[in-house]
Amino acid sequence: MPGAVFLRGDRVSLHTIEEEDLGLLNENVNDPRVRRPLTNASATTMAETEAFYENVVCDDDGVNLLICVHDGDDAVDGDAKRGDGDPVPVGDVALFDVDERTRSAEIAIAVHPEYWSNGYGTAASRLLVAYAFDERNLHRLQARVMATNDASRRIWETLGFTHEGRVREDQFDGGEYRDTHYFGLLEREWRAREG
Amino acid sequence: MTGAVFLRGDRVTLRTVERDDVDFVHAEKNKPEVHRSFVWPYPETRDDVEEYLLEGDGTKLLVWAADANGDPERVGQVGLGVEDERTRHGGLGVWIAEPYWGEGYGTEACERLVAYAFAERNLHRVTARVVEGNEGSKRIWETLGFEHEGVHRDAEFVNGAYRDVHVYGVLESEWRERDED
Repeated sequence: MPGAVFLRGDRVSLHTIEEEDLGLLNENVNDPRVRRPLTNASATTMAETEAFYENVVCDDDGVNLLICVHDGDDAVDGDAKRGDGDPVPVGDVALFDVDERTRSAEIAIAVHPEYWSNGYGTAASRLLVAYAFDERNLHRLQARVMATNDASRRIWETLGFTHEGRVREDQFDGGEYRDTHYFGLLEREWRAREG
Repeated sequence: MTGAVFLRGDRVTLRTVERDDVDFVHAEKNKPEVHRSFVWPYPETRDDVEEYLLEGDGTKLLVWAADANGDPERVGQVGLGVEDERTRHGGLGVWIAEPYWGEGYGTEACERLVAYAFAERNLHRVTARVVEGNEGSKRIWETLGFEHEGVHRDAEFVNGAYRDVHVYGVLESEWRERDED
């Protein structure tokens, strides 16, 4: 049973992260399909994930939430159909580097590969973007995407982020230097869109 | 005590940071025109400055130039931070005390520091960020051949308004080509 619901959408809900969820997060952060697009080349032990939970998730100005899909959703396959009525955790989404002075923050997301291509990442990100502007009173959100990560890029484009530049060769993956795309969204743009 | 020469340019020398530099940095870096130029709107005590200079991260060097009599004097400071050893990516920072603006000291000091980053530290790219309105800094990176790689809209707040942040970068291959010209 996931933690308390914090943000609720039609297809996904965002819950507080609890200790029993750390296994999924640790699996995600080590899975090459997830960590490589997130530019993480280090092995992360469960002890490190527990420390991250203590130091960042529980004790930081940012927000880390567990993405859950509603049980019985036809688009979910495999283990997700547990039939017990509980929401099924599929990944996590985070608001971090919150700068209170400039009212800016960065957003990032990791969905377990088993649940890719269902739009869960976009749905979860939309909830967190709305929260950032509507509740946290932020002025600007930033997202970074490695040039090879088309799926992530689509999330930010779908949510109305503007492409703000391409930092050349600041990442390395698959034996090559890779560019990073920067995306930004301002509060007034979000309101014009949602209003 | 004068720091040891670490990098040498035609008009400036980049010297190691010493305890005797603390007063200069404390006095000059707090001034509104300087702290606004790199957007650090927090007053720093002498102790803060001492800790940052002598114990902080990254490679910090004092910029010295010749005064009217030809004697060396402090004019500013540069810093190089390696953001990621794996991707060999570094970031640059510079400030020059206000009386010495417009002399080209910042450009020459940064030119030496970039050359060092590639020739000695084996970096693959270096990044510099400039807040809209800081024409002096923009000119440094443009003069040194950095590419303008993006504009992060409203990412800073200076002088009562949100300001764009410009991102500049140069790759080791570009720097080598430039050095060969």
